[in-house]
Amino acid sequence: MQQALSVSQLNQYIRLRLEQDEVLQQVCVSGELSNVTLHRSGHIYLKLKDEKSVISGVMFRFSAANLDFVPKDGMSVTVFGTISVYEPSGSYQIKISVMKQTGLGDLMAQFENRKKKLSEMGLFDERHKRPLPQFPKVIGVITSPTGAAIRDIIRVCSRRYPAAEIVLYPALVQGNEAAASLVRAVEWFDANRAADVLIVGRGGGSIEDLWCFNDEALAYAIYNCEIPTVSAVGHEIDYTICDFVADVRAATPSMAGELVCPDQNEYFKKISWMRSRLSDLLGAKYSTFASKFQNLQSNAYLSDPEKLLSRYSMRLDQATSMLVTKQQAILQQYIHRFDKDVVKLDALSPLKTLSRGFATVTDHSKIVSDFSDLAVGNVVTVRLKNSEADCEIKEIRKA
Amino acid sequence: MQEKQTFESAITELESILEKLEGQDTTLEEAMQLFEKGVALSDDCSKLLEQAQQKVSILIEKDAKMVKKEFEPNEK
Repeated sequence: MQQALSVSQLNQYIRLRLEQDEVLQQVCVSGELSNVTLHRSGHIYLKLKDEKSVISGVMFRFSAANLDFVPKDGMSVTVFGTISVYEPSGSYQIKISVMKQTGLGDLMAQFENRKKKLSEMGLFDERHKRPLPQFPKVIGVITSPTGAAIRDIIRVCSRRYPAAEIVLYPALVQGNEAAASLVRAVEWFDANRAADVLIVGRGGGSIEDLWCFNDEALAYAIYNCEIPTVSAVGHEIDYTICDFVADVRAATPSMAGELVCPDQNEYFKKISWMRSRLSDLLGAKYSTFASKFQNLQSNAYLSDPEKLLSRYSMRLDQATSMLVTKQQAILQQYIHRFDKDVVKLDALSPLKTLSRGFATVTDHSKIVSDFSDLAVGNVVTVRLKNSEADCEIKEIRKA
Repeated sequence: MQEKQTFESAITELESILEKLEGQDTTLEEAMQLFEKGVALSDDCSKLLEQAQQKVSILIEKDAKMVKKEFEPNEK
């Protein structure tokens, strides 16, 4: 007969055996969560199960602080931890150090499929992207009224461009109702033309938290929305369908504020630049006109009009004297020619010939060059140098 | 003078005045008028920015309609 152990001895033995087992000290196990209790102390008590079996688990506060999601019944998870024995109750459980959501693989696949489908439908096409307005009067924000996102957006907009009004449409940003709530908000802004630009978003979270932003109805609502839309979901690393379909993607809600608002300090600078440019331009204009005026003033003819006149009167004098000289020359030429002609004429004058004893015979003032044209008895006039006589023809002979 | 000037309309007009002044074909008289207008507009622009106070409102459903109410973000 073996020596009997006490119950506590047995449980201690089991504990030591399990704690020495290398597999059980570094175990990784997948299952579905149930009976999740978030204790006030910060510890999480839960059960992990599959179709056939169940194991108790605990996650202490310092490990639970690193969770990026809130464990809920029905979630698929993978946990890392060690098996430990609670001796007083003779029960064993898994002490969880890290818990990850599984089924995330499924979500990622769903996301990729939907992204591909909507992309093929043309929802992400660049040509549908509208530019953001330069000076929005109303910035519509669709997010949770209690989240960090709205505070970040208000903070950035107040700093950059307080001239714009921010209108918040409170929406659910996680859970089953969230997508429908977001769609309602987008459609309301669109139907009422209630903003010049929209920001749709929320702060960071797990892929499940952000899942509503992958909703297809939301994608279509944003696609059909006439108001330019900025998507601001989670952090830089988080991409959702909403980011792809929106006109602009902002990495974070703060970034969305920066994208949507012009920086008023830039505008103060711009305004003062424009002002000095105004003065410069007017100054330049003035000096252009002034120098034109000066040029005119210093023009010789304007300052002394007689100069212009004297030039012309000089030309007139020149022309006149040239005309006179020319005229005299021509006259002289004629006088000279006339003198020569007179001498020539004088030389040829019949009077000169008559003075040498020659006579002219005329018949009724017609010179007679041949007496055979006349008859005996005709009277002709015979002219000598200083006198003439009428003579009757007595006889005509051939010479 | 005008009904309601927005920052956008003021700065757009100011830009077009500068453009005109940069052109060669304004007379000196026109240029002086443009300058005066431009200075007034730049004052308006600065004033519009300085006086602006961010208004933040939240939409609340009331009788099946959304109405605006002043929004006070709860600080952390």
